[in-house]
Amino acid sequence: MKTHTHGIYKNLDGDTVFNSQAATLIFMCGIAFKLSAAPQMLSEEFGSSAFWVFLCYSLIDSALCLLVLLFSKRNGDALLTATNNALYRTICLVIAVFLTAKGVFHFCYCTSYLTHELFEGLEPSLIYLLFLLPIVYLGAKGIRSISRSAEILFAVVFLMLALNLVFLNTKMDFSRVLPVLSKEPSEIAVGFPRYGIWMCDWLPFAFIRIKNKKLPYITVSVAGTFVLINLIMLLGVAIYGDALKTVTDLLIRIAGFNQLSRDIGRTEWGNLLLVITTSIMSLAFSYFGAITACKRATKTSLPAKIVYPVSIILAIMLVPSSQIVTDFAVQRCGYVLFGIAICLPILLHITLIAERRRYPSVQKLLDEEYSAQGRKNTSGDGSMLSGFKQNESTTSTV
Amino acid sequence: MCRVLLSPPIANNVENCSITTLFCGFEYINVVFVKNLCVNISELENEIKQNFFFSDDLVCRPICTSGKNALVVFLDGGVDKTLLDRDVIAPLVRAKKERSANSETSDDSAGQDDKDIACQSEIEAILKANTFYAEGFSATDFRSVPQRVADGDVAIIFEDCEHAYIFSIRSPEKRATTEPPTESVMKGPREGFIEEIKSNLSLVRRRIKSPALTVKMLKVGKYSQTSVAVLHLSGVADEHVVKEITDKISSIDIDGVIDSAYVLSYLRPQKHSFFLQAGSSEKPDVVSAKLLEGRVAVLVDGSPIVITLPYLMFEDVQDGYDYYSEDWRASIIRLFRLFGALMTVILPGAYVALQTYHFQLLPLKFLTTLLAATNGIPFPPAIEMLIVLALFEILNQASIRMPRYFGISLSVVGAIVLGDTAVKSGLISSPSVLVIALSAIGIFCVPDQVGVMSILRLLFLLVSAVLGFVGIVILLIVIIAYLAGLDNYGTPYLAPYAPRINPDLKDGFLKVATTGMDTRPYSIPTSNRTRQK
Repeated sequence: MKTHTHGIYKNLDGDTVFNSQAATLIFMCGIAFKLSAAPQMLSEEFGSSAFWVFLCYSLIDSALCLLVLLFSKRNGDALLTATNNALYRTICLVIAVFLTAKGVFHFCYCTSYLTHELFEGLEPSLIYLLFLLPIVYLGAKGIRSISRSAEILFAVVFLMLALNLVFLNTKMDFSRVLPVLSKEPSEIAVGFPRYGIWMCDWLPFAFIRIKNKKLPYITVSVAGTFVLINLIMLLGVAIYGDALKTVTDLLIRIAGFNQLSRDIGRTEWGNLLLVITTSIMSLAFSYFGAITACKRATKTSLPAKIVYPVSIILAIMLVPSSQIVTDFAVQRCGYVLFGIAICLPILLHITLIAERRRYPSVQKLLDEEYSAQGRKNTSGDGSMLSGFKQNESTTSTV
Repeated sequence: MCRVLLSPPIANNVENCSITTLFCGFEYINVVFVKNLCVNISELENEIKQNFFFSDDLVCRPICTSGKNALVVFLDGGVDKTLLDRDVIAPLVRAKKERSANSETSDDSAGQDDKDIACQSEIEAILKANTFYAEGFSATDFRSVPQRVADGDVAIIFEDCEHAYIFSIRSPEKRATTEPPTESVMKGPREGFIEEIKSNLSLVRRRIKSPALTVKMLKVGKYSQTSVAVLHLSGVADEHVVKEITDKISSIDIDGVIDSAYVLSYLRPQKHSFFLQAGSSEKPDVVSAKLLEGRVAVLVDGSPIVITLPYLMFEDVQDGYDYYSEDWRASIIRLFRLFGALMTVILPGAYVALQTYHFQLLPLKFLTTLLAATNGIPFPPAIEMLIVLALFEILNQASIRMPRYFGISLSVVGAIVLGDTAVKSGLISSPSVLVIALSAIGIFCVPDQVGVMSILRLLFLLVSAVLGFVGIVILLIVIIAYLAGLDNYGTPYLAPYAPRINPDLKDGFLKVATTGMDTRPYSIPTSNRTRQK
């Protein structure tokens, strides 16, 4: 039953979220994995340049995020789906594979730190299974459940993070970020693209419509997430210096330098729970993205629904150690992932621009359909495009 | 079974007979009427008694009014007999005497005919002129008589009359409107609903004196014929929601409805969820406030608990007293309620997780104290916690059901056995008793959610026993994801926090003054958003 007088459900379909919800998802996905193994690996490879490399990565990733959000704002998914664009379907297939690969790598990393940090004497397979369950459950429920859950959990996550940073109490030397180029630029350039695994976590937004509230939540969230992760990276370098290459989980470890730890015990557990929460949300989001991309590509979401969790299960069953998977992700595979991450948002836009020029009337129809006024004029099947499809076929024959 | 109700003069006029099937009690019987006229009162009396299986509380009183035999039928105990005698029977009987007296003084040639009531219209005229009951009477078909009498009405059936006449002179036993035990307040109204639906309706009408308050009465239950009233404010409540609720209630096909919980089962969108999906209250001020917000209220005869829909999970954190006291106080108290509820659910599981898996997270002093307290306990922490929890639940149930007279002895037994002896004997530790006691107290911060929180507490305990903190976090995320996906008659279950609805946050954990609440909640479907200007 739809209640058309209800303010919340006006113009909201199943894959539509508010910009405040999108902002919380941006934050959760942004901090989930970038502050885990990346600082350690970057420090090992680039030394003091690790922070600057991380900054560059963040800048590129933020730009990619904005590209994806712009694609969403321009109703790109709706247009390209309505016109059944073949290139878009191919891109969606690549997105599905990309997100599945990212999911496998990230999941293996998560379970790696879980078994090291939290559990002694517990079967890793049990942890894997238990970690997989909420991811699959949330991802299958859809973006509405994911975004609402993120809204609820955001307060706890942000509060915990803020408290950890506010009560930070340790010696810091910010000169440890210098020199900017600890190696030859050519060496840095060769090693730079290997960390594509941490790029484009926000790709599923391409399939989501975002309904804007008054405040610029998304802009603030993207900027805030960018600043926050770089701040934490900066603090990590300032605290650890060269020893950062031994710190496997920066976001968890940094919470250990807390004034409150004398009174309430090890405060790392607070950030550990934070990391678990954001990891689950991020992985569920990527699972949703893989499912939706697969549906766009193949008209059915079933392959992705099965392949994503099965890939994870196979990876943890067949590979002796989850660390191997993580290491593999930053070898040659990292270059591939980097290339895909850069190309995908650009390709999406190129495809969209070409399609808009080809079908300007369809774009206009979509804009009207998704506006407040247009919602009242929708046909019985809820879409104004049903009339278009008949006309378009007539036009194409001409 | 066929009964023939024919008086001798009409016995030969068989072609004018009709057979009507009545359902009465548990079987169908055939009653023969001649031209729909009930012709033999004594046979009819026997018939009606048979319909009621010769119940001893059925009263069939023959009377004679204006030369016409009539039968007054009602159930003893449900009728105000003083009113019946004074305002219905006595005037009718007196009417016969007066009519007889008048006819004696009139012309003899017309006297014999004038003595008897000639037609139905005259019967109705006599009834109108001589009965003084406020609600008046209604004419009904004979088929309705058993059901109407079972409803508590009085039926008067006249010889040779097409209809039976129904008087609604009910006087059910009802208790006074006292403060409900589960919703007491320090300051504010103390009236509570009772089991009688008309009294409950009047309590709501007293607070919403507007013609827009619309009441739709329905009958539910094949045998109980329970009255169910659906209330909403026309022009405020969403008509789609009203229609959906009304349709669901109308489609209930059950033998009897004893309490509003029966109806609630049919109104729940998710049939198999243990989370609450409808609001309930025993206080008319609370229900009136919810009606003013655009909700729909469902009153069930025989139950003091009123159902309100749509439902938000957050509304159980709100309390009537929040609106009768200072706003800052209400805000603080709501935060404490939330804290109490979270403590109830998570504390036992967190305690078990810390003791079993994550003792390294505890400060050293705390850890040494805990180890000293739990040293020598023969059970693992999870089992110990389950034992203490079970003991508390048993104590809880016993205290609800036992007679008042044994309250003191049970309190002593509970305190000594649980609080002292069990700890001193070394079977359970004092920290576990403390944790469960805190949890047991905190559960009543949100009393409507007691059942839900009991189940969640147990779930978290079991999960933490196996998986520690990770299990707690994962279960928490799964529960939040489940609740985030629930919708309740067009209302997100976790509104106004997921999705976050900024205008509704004025009455969230931090409450603003009433002057600041100028719109109705956006979380709830409504036709009119403006509350004040």
